[in-house]
Amino acid sequence: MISDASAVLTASPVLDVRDLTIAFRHRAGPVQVVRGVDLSVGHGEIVGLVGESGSGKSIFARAILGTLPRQAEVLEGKIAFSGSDLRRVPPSEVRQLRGDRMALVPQEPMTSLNPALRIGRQLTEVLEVHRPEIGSAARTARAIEMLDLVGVNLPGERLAQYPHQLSGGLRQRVAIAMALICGRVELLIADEPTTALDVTIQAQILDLFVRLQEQQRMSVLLITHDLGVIAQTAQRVAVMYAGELVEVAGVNELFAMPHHPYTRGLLDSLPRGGNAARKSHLPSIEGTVPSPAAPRQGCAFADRCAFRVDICGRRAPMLEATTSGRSVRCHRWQELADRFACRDAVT
Amino acid sequence: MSTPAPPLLQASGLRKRYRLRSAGAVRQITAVDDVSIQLVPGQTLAIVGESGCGKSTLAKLVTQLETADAGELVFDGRPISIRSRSERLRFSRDVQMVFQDPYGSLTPHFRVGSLVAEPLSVHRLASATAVRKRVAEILSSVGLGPEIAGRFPHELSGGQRQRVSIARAIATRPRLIVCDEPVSALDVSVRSQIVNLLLDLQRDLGLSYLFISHDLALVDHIADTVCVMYLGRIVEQAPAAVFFAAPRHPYSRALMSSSPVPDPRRRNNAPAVQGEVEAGAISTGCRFRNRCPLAVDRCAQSDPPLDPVAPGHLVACHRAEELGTRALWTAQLG
Ligand SMILES: Nc1ncnc2c1ncn2[C@@H]1O[C@H](COP(=O)(O)OP(=O)(O)OP(=O)(O)O)[C@@H](O)[C@H]1O
Ligand code: SF4
Ligand code: SF4
Ligand SMILES: [Mg+2]
Repeated sequence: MISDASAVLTASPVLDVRDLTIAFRHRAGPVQVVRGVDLSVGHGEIVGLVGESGSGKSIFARAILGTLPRQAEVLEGKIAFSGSDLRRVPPSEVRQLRGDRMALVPQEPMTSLNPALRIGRQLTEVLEVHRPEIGSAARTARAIEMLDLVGVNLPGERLAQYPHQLSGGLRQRVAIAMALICGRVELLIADEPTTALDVTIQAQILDLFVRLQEQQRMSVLLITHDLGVIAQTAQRVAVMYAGELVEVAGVNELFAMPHHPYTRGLLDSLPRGGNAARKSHLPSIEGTVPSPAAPRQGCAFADRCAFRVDICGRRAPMLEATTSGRSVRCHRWQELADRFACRDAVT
Repeated sequence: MSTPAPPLLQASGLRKRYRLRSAGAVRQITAVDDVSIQLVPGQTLAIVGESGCGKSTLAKLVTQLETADAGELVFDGRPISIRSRSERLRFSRDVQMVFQDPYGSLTPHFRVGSLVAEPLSVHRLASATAVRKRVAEILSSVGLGPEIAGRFPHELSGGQRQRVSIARAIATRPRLIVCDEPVSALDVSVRSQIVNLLLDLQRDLGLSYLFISHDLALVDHIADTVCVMYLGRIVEQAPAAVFFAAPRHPYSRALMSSSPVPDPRRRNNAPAVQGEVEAGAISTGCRFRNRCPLAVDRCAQSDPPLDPVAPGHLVACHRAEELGTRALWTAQLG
C-alpha cells in the first residue's frame, strides 16, 4: 500500500505563479488573455479562483499543467511548483508530473475518462504509468480503495463498468479518484468541477474536496464562476477580471469587505432572498466584459465602474498589497475600502 | 388573504411518458406524472428541481410544444383541447417561451431586426410600414438600442442575445412567458441585469411567468409560488414566503441546504442527502425514499399523495404532519 500525501511541511507554497502572461496568436497579432497574474497555493490550502466566462481561468490552469492549446503561448512569468520552475523543466518531465504530483479535475469528467475503457482499467493504467513498481494485484486493490475514498458505492463492481454506465456525479468521483490514485498529488486543479452537476451532488463533491484537503493536506486550486461554491469551500480567493487578478483575499475578508469595485458589484448582485427584497431590482453591474482583443488603456474595469475617476482611464492600476495582507488592483482601493466597509455585506 | 384572481392557466393531471431505448431494451420514463399547476395573472410560479425531474418537459406541455398523454390544460377559462384554429393561433400568441441558451434559440443567419419582426408578421401584429418602428420600440423595452437591429446574433454578447430572445417573446404581447433557466447560461455580472428586465416587464405588462430554475436564491427573489419537482412529481408547492421560511418536504430541505450560500460564515458541515436521483429505481412507495434521511417503513408501501398541510401549501410526504413541528428536523438532521 502506498502511504498517502508525501507532503513535507515547508514554508514555501506548493504553487507559486509570478507575473504570468499568456497570449493567443491571432492574425492581427497576439491577444493577451492572462495578464501578469501572481498567485500562490499553500500546502493544504484550497484557493478559489473566481471569474466570468472568458476571464482566463482555464487558460491559467492549463499553463500550470503544461497543457496549453497550441495557439497559446506563455509570454512572461514564472510557474514554480514545489520549488522548481516549470517553464525551465523539459516538457517530458512536466508530463511526468501531471497525474502524479499535480492533477486536473475537469468540468466534464468525460474529458479525462476514456469512454471505451472499463473504470478499473483506466485507474490501474495511471498507476502503470506513474507507479510501475506496484504489482498488478496491488493496483486493483488501490483502485478499489480510491473509489471508496471518493465515495463511490460498490467500488469493486464499478471496476467492470464503462463511464457511460455511470451518472454524472459518479463519473466526477471516478475522475477525482483517477487524479488522486498515484498517492503523491500535491496540487489538485479543479476547473469548474461541479458546474455540470445538480446541487445535491455538488454539495457532496465539494464536501469531498474539503475532506481531502483536511485529511490528506491536499492543496486545491478550485476554479469556478460561482461565488457560493467559493464561499462554501475556499480559504483564500482570487478574483479574475478580463485576464487580470483584481483582488486576492482570505475568504471571510473578501465576502465581508470586498475592496475592488468589481468584487463588490458581483457580491451585491447576488439575490439574497427574503420577503423584503422579493421582486425588487437587484443591484447590477452595467455593461459587459471587454473583449481581450480590444485595446486596453488604464483600468480594465473602468467602463463599467461606478467609481471611476479621470486617472482610471489613463493609467492601469497595479495589484497592490494592502496593510491587511490582501491585494487589490484599483487606484482608489484605500478610500473605497472604508466606504465598502459600511455596507452590511451579508445579512 | 384576498380572494385569488381566476387563474390564467390551469393544468390538471398532466402526464407525459417517453420511451427510452438503451442497450436494446425499451424502457418507459414518466417524465411528468400527474402534475397540476395554476398560473395567476401577473404572478410568477417557479418550478425547482434537479436535472431529469421533469421541469423542462412540463414547460413543453404548458406551451403545447409537446402533447400530454393525459391531463387537461385550461387557458383563460377555455380547455385547450376544444379550441378552434383561430383560438389556437391566439394561444400561440399569448404564451411565449424564453430558453436557457440564447445562442441556440436564435437563428444565426437572421439579423436581430428580422428575428424580432418575425413573430409580428406571423401574428399580423404590425403593418409592413409600422414594423420597423415597432421593432425599435420592442428593442428599447428590453434595453437595446435601435442599431442592434442590424446585427447578427454572433455579433452580440450573451446578455444582449438573451435580451433579443426576450424581445421576441414579448413582441406578440403575450400574457404568459415560460422561462426555462433564462439566466443560468449568463455571466454573473450580467445575470442581474436580465433578472431586473424580467421583473420590469412583468410589472409593466402584467405578465405571468412560469419560471424554471435550479437556483433557489434567485427563485426566492422573483417567485410568488414555488413548486418542487422530484422524478416527475410535484413534492411540495407553497407560496414563496412560506416555502423559504419553512420548507416541509425532506427533498425541499435537502435542496435548500445543498444550495451553496455565498457567505463563508454559513458553511454547510455535511451534504444534506447522499445518493443520486435514479429514474425508475423505485417502483413502489415514495420515490425519494432511497435518499430520504427520514424514511420509515410506511414510505416503501405507498406513494404519498400531494396533500394540503395549510391553505395553499401542499406536501407529498407521509410524515408531513410530524415535520410541521421542528423537533423531528433538528433531532434527525441537526
Ligand atoms: N483555443 C483558443 N483559441 C483562441 N482563443 C482562445 C482559445 N481558448 C480560449 N481562448 C480565449 O482565451 C480567453 C480566456 O479563456 P478561458 O477558457 O481561460 O476562460 P475561462 O475563464 O476559463 O472561461 P469559462 O468560465 O467560460 O470557462 C478567452 O477570451 C477565450 O476566448
Ligand atoms: S481603478 Fe478606477 S475604474 Fe478601476 S476599479 Fe478602481 S475606481 Fe474603478
Ligand atoms: S414519504 Fe417517507 S421517504 Fe418520502 S419524503 Fe416523506 S419521509 Fe421521506
Ligand atoms: Mg473555463
